Amino acid sequence: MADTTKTTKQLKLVAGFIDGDDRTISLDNPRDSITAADISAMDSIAAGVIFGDKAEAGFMRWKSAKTVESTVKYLDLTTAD
Amino acid sequence: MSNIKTSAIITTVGANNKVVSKAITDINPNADNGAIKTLCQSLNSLTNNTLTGVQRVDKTDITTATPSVAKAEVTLDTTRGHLDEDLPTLKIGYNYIGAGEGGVDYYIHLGEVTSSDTWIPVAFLVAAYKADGTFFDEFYYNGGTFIGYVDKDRDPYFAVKFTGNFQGRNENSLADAARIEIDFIFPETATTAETTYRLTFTHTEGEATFAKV
Repeated sequence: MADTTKTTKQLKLVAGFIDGDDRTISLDNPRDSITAADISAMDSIAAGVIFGDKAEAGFMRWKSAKTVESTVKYLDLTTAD
Repeated sequence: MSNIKTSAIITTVGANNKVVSKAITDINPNADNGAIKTLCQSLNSLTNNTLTGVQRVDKTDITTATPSVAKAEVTLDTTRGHLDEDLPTLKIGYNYIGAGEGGVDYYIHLGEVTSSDTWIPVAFLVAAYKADGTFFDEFYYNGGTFIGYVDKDRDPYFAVKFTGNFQGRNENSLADAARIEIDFIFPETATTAETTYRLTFTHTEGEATFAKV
């Protein structure tokens, strides 16, 4: 075997709540073409459905969104004699 | 705090036909299934994955929960008139709700008040919406006086008095909203369940509605 690498990509959405609490929702395999308008359009959809985990405060808006790409390299130890 | 914890489990098929399930926690237990499904579909639309299922999970914590006791809801007697006729005309200004700078009082007749608590503090939330129904801004009370209470030993009124200003969290003006909803939340007590009444303004001047939600 040889060393192998694995690349993953996630979209991290930060939801803001009325009491100031934040929560991040991570989604695997995000589209490349996501725009700010796509995220803002979900404000009204999330309102009343999710709430903060501290005081169960209502959802206010999506505060931020970012895509994170990470690469993990797995070393082949079978040849390390 | 509710002792029911609601989650949505989203099942998708992603790259290489890999099936993945993901939980969205801290769902409002009062949210209906359609709203939860719509949110899950919207979230998944941001990905390249194919949505194959959404499951709702309601878990009740029985560790600390007391035995279930039937509780009455706070009841407002609309037959006796609410939003009294002699109240000033309701208006939405730059950042106030009321008849003018002095604010406005609402004395809303209550029906039977079954709470053993003499005073019930009433919280409220103010949300505003655009003409197309989408969310506009959330407003908080920026100073001034707010009184919201129930006093069952005196006149059975739900009294609300605003004399301050509302501040948009996103710096918006109330005057630019098409619809404003003020939720008055009567908290759970020993004998009454949590109950929410909503005062809705749909115009910048004139009629308002008040109903349990």
